[in-house]
Formats: sequence, structure tokens, C-alpha cells
Amino acid sequence: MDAEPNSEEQMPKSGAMADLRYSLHLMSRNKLVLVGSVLATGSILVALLAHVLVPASATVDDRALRICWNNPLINWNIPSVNVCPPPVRPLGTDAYGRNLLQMIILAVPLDLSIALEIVASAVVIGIVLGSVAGYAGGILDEAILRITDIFFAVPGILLAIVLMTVLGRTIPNLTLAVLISWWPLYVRLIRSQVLSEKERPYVEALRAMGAGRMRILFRHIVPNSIYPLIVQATLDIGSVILTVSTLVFLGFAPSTIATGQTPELGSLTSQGAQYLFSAPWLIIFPGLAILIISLGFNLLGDGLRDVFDPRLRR
Amino acid sequence: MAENLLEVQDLRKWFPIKGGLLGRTSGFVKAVDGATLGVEKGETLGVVGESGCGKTTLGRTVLKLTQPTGGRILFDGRDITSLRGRKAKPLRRRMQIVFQDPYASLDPRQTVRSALTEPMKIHGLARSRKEADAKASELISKVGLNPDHLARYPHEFSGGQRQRIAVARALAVSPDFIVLDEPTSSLDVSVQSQILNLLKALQRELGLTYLFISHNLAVVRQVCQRIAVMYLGRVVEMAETEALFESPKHPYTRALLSSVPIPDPSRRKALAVLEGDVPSPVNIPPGCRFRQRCEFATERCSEVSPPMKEVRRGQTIECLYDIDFATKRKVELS
Amino acid sequence: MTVRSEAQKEREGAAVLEVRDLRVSFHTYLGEVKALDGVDFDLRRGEVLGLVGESGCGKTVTALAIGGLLSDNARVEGGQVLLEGKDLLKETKEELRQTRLREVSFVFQDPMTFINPVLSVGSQIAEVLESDRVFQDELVEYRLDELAREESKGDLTRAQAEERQALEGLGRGKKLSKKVLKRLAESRALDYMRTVKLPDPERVFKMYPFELSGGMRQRVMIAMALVRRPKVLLADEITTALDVTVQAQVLKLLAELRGKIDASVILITHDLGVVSEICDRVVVMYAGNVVEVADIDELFANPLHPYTQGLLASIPRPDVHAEEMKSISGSVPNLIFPPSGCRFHPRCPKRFDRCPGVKPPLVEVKPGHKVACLLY
Ligand SMILES: Nc1ncnc2c1ncn2[C@@H]1O[C@H](COP(=O)(O)OP(=O)(O)O)[C@@H](O)[C@H]1O
Ligand SMILES: Nc1ncnc2c1ncn2[C@@H]1O[C@H](COP(=O)(O)OP(=O)(O)O)[C@@H](O)[C@H]1O
Ligand code: SF4
Ligand SMILES: [Mg+2]
Ligand SMILES: [Mg+2]
Repeated sequence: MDAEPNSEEQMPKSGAMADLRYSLHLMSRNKLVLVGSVLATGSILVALLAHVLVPASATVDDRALRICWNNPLINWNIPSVNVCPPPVRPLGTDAYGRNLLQMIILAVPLDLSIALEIVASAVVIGIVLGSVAGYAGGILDEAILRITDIFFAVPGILLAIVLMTVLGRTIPNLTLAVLISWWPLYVRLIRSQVLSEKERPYVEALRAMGAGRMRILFRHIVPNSIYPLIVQATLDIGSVILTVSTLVFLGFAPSTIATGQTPELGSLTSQGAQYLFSAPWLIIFPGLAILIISLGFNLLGDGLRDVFDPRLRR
Repeated sequence: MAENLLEVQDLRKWFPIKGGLLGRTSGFVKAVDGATLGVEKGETLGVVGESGCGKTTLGRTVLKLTQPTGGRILFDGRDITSLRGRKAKPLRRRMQIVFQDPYASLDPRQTVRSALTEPMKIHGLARSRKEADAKASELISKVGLNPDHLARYPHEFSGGQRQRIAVARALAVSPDFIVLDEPTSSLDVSVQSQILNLLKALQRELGLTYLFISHNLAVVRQVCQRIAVMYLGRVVEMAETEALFESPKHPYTRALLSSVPIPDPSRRKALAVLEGDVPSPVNIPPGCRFRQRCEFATERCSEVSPPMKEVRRGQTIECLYDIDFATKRKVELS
Repeated sequence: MTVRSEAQKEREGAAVLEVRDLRVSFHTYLGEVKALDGVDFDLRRGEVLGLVGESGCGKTVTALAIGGLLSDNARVEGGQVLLEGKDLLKETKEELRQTRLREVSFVFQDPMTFINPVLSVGSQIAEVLESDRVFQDELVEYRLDELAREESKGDLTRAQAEERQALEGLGRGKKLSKKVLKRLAESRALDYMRTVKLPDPERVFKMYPFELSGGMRQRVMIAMALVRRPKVLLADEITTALDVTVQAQVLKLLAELRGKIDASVILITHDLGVVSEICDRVVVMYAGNVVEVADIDELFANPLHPYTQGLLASIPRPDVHAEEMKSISGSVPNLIFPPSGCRFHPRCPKRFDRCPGVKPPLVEVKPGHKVACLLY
């Protein structure tokens, strides 16, 4: 057609590989992010392999108890006969005589899956409500915004505590309680993303093409708004774990957790609190586990923010 | 005279200015404020003017991407002024647009193939995926790229190539009429002429009608048969290209033309300078809207809004006078 | 502004600024961007030199290198930038800063990036002078000159006489009080606002940048650049973002300023119309190389480099209609992997077997007309 077709430019041979390379380059620039990725993937691996790492028979650690019993040299005169300090077992045993390291490993999948459920649901609610609010505007937008305002106004933990008290202490209710105070953030986030994205010329081009609202919103605008959401979600997995374990620590836990049948990081910590001075490892190690996991996801989220930053792209 | 494919009559598009605590409307940006023009089948009509004079808004309103505040738009003899939503969809098959910024007018997460086949899907123009893909290959070759490019993403292309893709996308629905909103303004000169040649060739081949919006008078001269000059939301002069460049009749057109530097030092002349900036389209004074910057303005100019008058065959202006710029004599138009 | 001394007039035609074989590269994750590959030209005293080429050809990088304003990932690989004989690239950071403040000024395309949005424009222009001691003596001299001129017209008022006494009593290099400094700087700023034809300068002095139109902001930038009385003014695409009507106003201003200011100007633009309007000579750049240098009339009448020829042929002209427009095939190459030999060869309609292998030197084919192409 044209006198000089397609000879226009020798762009760098980019594409998926170069993109990935650039992403890794951006990630690796920051040491902390590297640490974050290792910690986060590490905790996910631990969660997935928990039941392989810990043999099913591992409940009460008889051998450890026998070593400790009536042996003040080893058991530091702890009031509870079942508690054994490290290095009898790598991290000692808990008040029921169970290997603390194994308990922590078994607790990770529960905490992570609760956090994932909460964040994933918040993301879905956020995408649906936020994108509708942002794209439709008007009364619908106003209504959705006001509802999120209400939830923003009430402190999250307080709301969760009230809900748990009213609905009863079960794991689904715990999840629900935290979710309820968490989703509005995502509605806001997606809404503001959609608001700025919908002003981009390609959206106008789609309208001129005759594309319907649903197609424009869910096939184009939402996928283009998703990066900040991924960043926020990653950051939030850490914070949600912290919140959930705080709630459990404060005693708002299902009975199975509270009694220690099902290990959970918050409950392990809270049990440890009783022996704060006599057996400090009981609170230190589960506490450290919480810290490491949430820090890991936070750092990873920060790193992803860099990777997805449009100013560093293009 | 050929028949008009598009007719715009007294078109107005006012954007409300929301202010104050209660978000009350405190005034209007009169982006388009009584524009009248017609585009003949098969021609390229240029729309020129300083930035902010309402060119883009005119284009968007004509395509019904935004609802007009007043006036009428006729496309192929049909009144489309109040068509909207689903009702406007058949229109989208016949009218298309190419935007100024090739970097922003393509969805960054969509491959070229998907960008080209999407309009076909929307309008049910291909029976199968295979047919759509075949059409996409044909389109991409038509705009001077090659089918290997279909699998790539927009960021892998240069500006000129992206603009070619945008043109191909507009052609995907086989439209009759395309609004080209500054299609080469963000490109380098050497690439600009490639795109302009492409647009011309496509027009010849497919019998397209263009509304060519540009602030670059030199470009407009190369591609348009007729030109409409806009000032503050109105078409103040409309004429065939040669007539407009050789003997502009509106004082604004003349000022605009003589402020364009000519790339030829042997023809260096002192650029005629039009003082002041484009006034704001919010508080438009009564009378002629050009009068504050017009060297020929009289008392009457501030009282009477000049109606559109034909001063010569095919040359209309919105000025109270027919002015001979050489002698500065003016004859009142009745 | 100031009357040119005889000595200055004599040196007219001599180079103020010589750029010699300048090489700059940028380190990026994709590789080394060889942005400037031996840029070589002179800026003569009092002239307006056009620097043209498509975007990405290295015009801005050249300007930044001259002013010592390159970003951190840039490295000057070699070459010299001689300002009246002294090599700016060899100066220490502090020396360079001082030189830049006094002798090289910039005006950029987007004024808003360089204007502080929360200070009134007048005080910003004045601030340029207040902020650095190097301008102090000059301010005093300038004021004394002003008073002397006043006196020659008639008697000075008592206040003026006292002021003169105070200023004269001040030895060179002595510090002025803040208040006096501010007053002198502001009156000088206002003066320059008049010079650049800002309408109603007293009022505009107190206005904030957002209250000004694009054209007025560009005038403010020009005033800010000129108030230091630089030897070299680098103007990078200053009219690109403006409407043609406003562009004409700015070009007219530049033309008027030529007689009044000492500065020699490098006008960077991709618009050959603008170049032909006010430049004396033109340097054409392509992909980090200077490909042609000539007087303006010579360049347009007799372009030698195929790139210049292509560029001239592809500009749409407002004064003629062409059915089919010429264009240069392809576009500016990526400078990480620049083409070998003559960097233009992949796009050149006249290339021959030697082009991909030999880098053409810039040779003077006629007095004042240099070209870098193996054809000559
Ligand atoms: N969506 C909008 N809302 C409010 N004002 C607008 C909108 N679009 C354009 N305008 C205003 O309308 C006027 C004309 O704009 P536009 O049509 O973009 O001009 P042009 O394309 O000629 O530069 C400008 O003053 C602009 O600020
Ligand atoms: N900070 C930078 N980092 C990397 N590359 C750069 C940087 N600045 C400029 N370049 C590259 O240098 C080349 C010349 O750029 P520039 O001088 O801005 O071109 P021009 O001003 O002629 O349009 C381009 O290839 C550009 O990509
Ligand atoms: S009507 Fe009056 S002010 Fe308007 S353009 Fe004509 S002469 Fe000038
Ligand atoms: Mg526009
Ligand atoms: Mg530049």
C-alpha cells in the first residue's frame, strides 16, 4: 500500500522475556525486597508442606517430657510440668508438651489460608463494587462510597470483636469479621484506579468502536487497574495475618483454637503470654513467626510496587 | 456540489463548571458554541484553529461520544442528534475516529490482533475466529505493517507504527467516515508524511470521507479539499483549501496564516503577529468573538454577532465586513 | 541592554562556544545508549544557531552536556566544550556551577517544570540574582549606571544621591544588606520583564505562574534566563508547545532581543520553519552525529547530506500544495545498537557499498558548509 512499508524502527527485541528480565532487574535492585520475596515464598512453602514436615503422630512429645520432668536443671522450675525449654526440642515444647516448632509449622497454613481468603474476597468485592462505582458514577457511586465511609468510620478490630461476640466464635465468622472491616479499602482503591483509567484515550476509542459498558469495564479497564491491587493485596496478607492473630491473642477465637487443639500463631502467642517470665520462648517464637511472615509479604508488596510502577515501565 | 455525508447545524456543546460547596453549576465552558459545517462524501474537510477552540470537542460530539447541548447533526441524511447508547451502535460501524496520541489510544494489555478483531466481534462482522484473524492480517498489511506484528503489544511499536495500528483498527468495521483528530501531531516530520500518504491512499482506495482536525496549517494544506477555521467554538471561515490559503477573507484566518513560519529563508518575512492569547470560552463577550484581537474591529463588531455570509462562491465567513487586506478597505456585508 | 564594546565587536564572528568531538552515553538496563557520538560545532558570537533533527537525535542531550546538567546515568566519554577557550568539562563541580550561573542559561519547552508554582514570577526572577554572590557586584554597577543616566537627564533626588553614596562607598566583594540586595534585584527583574514584553509588568510581577498563559510563562522563562546576562542562551524547543500565533509572538521577541542582548543563542527545534525564521546558521543532527553545518540560506538552497535533503523534502509547506508528500523511510534508530558506519545508512536513499563500513568525517566542502557524508 505504502511506498515504504513497515521499515519504521528497529525497536529493541522486547516482549515477554525482556519484560520479565526487567521486572527481575527492578526487584533485585532492592535487597530488602529480595529478603521479602524469600520470606514470603518460604512461608507459602512451609504452609504447603506443613503436613509433610510434621509427622501425623507428632502430638505430645513424650520423650521431651520425660527428659524434663522433675529435672529442675533443665526445666527451669516452670510451674507447668509439660513445658520444656529449647534445646530439648529445637524451640522447646508448649504447655501441652508439644514440639513448639512443629506447632508453629502446623499453624502457618491455617493463618495463611485465613489471610488469603480474606484478601481474595476483599479483592473480588473491591473489583465488583469499586469498578461499578468508578465507571457508572452518579448516585450508584455516591451510595457505594457512603457505605464504605460507614465501615471506615468504625475501627476494624472493634467491629470484628463485636461481630465475633454476636455471631459466635468460629473460623468462618473470624474470617467474615476481619473481611467486613477490610473490603472497603479495596472498593476505594479500585474505584480510584477505574476513575483515572476511564479517562484514558483508549477507553474513548473503545466507545467509538461501539463496545458496551460491561466489555469496556471488565475486559479493558479492570485488567489495566489490577497492578496496584496486586500490590495492595500482597501488602495486606501480612497485615491481615497480624490482625487475625491479634484477635485470637485477645481471645476472640473459636474454641478449637482457644483450647490449643488447632494450632494458630495468635493462640500460641497468647498461651505463651502466661509464661512470659518463666518460659519466654513460648511467646517469642510464635511472635517471631508472625513478624517474619507479615514482614515478608510487606516487603514483597513494596517490591511489586516498584516493579509495576508505570514510571519505571515503558 | 456533491452531497453532504455529514451536516452539522448550529452545534453547541457546553460543559458545566461545577463550583461551590453544593456542586452547583456556576457557568459553562462553551467549547462548541454554534458551529455549522458540512462534509461532502469522499472529501477531506480540515478543521483548524488554536488549541482550546473546540476542535476535539466538535469531533467527539459529531461521533456522539458526548451528547450535544444544542443544534443538529445529520449523518447520511439521518438526524443522529439524540441517538445514544445501544441506538447509536449501528452508527459506530459507519463513523470512526483516530486520536492524537498513539501511545494512549491503544489498550496497553491488548495484542494488535485482539485490538483489530475486537470491533469485528462487537459488530458481528466475522463468522469465525479464523475469518476475523484473516481480516486482521489483511488490515495490518493495508496500513503498511506485516502480519507478524499481530501478536505484539503496543509498547513494542514506535509512534508512527502505533498510529498505523490505530488506523487499521478504525478500518476494521469498514466505516464511511473517519474523524482524524490531530493524527500526526505527536510524530516526527519524516514519519508524519508517511502517515499522511497512507491516509490519502486509503481514502482513494476505500472512498473514505475524513474530518481532519489539526492545528498545523501546513499539513492541512496538503491533505484537505476544504477547510473550516474555528475560533472560540464557532466556524468563522470555510472555504476550499486553495482559496483559503491564497485569499483568506476572515481577519482571523489571515492572522493565523501569516503567523505560520515558512521553511524557506529566501521567503523570510516578518511574521504578522496576532497579539494576545485565545480568550477563555467561559465568558464569551457579545458581538464578534474575535473583536478584541481584530485590527479591523469597529463599534458595530461589539454589538452584532456576525452571521455566516458567503463572500465568494464556496467561501463563507462570520465577519461583518468583506475586507480587502491590501488596502484595508472594508465593505459592510448585508 | 549594554552597549557593545569595540573589543567585543572585533571578536564578532569568533566562536564563543566550541563543542569538540563530544561523546556522551547513558547507562540503562537495556544497554549503553550511545547518545552523542562525536558532536562538533561552533557557536559564533552574537549569532542564533539552529540545532535541528528529529526527536531522539541528541539535541537535548547536547544542550544538557554543555550546561553540565546531564542526569546521573550519563557519562561524558570524551570531547571538549570550550567556552571562550576554557573547557567546561574539566571544571570542578563548584566552578561549573558558577560558570553556568553566569554564562550559560537555559530555556526549556515546558516552563512549568522550572518555575516554582508557589512563588510570584517577579520574585522568582529576582531570586536568581539574590541567590548568588556572583551577581552582587553587577547589580551594584547596574544600579550606579542607572543613577548616572538619571543624573545626566537632570538632578538626582536626595534619596537617590544618598543611595549612590552608599553604593559607591561599598567596596567590591563587600556584602550588601539583604534588603538592599532584594530591592536591586527586583528592580532589575522588572526591567527584564519589560525587555521580554510581558504586558503590564508591574502587575505580572506579583502574579503566580498558574495565572499566566503558556506564552507569558515562556516569556518569564526567557526573562529568568536573560537576567543573568549569560554569554550563551540554550533554548530547547521553546515554541513547540505553543500555538502558532503565540509562537510568532515569541519568535518576534527573540528577533527583537538579538540587538539588545549579549548572548549568543542555540535554538533547538525540530521545526525547520522556526529555524528559517530566525537562525543565522544551522547544525543538523542525526542519531547523535552532526551531519551538516551551514549558513541558513545555503542549507535550504543547497542541502548536501541526504538526511537534510530528506528532512527538507518531507516538511509540509504552508505555502504550497503537494499531491504526494516525500518522506524518509524508517525512523530514528535506537542508539543502544546504532547502525555501523554512517548512522544514517539504513534510511539513506543514496547509500553505497562504503556507507555501512566507514564513519564519515565532518568535512568542509565549501567555506562555512560542512557535511558528514561519504558522497563528498
Ligand atoms: N470534558 C470536558 N469538560 C470540561 N471542559 C472541556 C472538556 N473537554 C474540553 N473542554 C474545554 O473545551 C474547550 C475546547 O477544548 P477542545 O475541544 O479540546 O479544543 P481543541 O481540540 O481545539 O484544542 C477547552 O477550553 C477545554 O478546556
Ligand atoms: N536520561 C537518559 N537516559 C537514557 N537515555 C537517554 C536519556 N536522555 C536521553 N537519552 C537518549 O538519548 C538520545 C537523544 O535524546 P535527546 O537528546 O533527548 O533527543 P532530542 O532532544 O533530539 O529529541 C535518545 O535516544 C534518548 O533515548
Ligand atoms: S466582525 Fe469585526 S471584529 Fe470580527 S473579524 Fe470581522 S472585523 Fe474583526
Ligand atoms: Mg484537540
Ligand atoms: Mg529534545
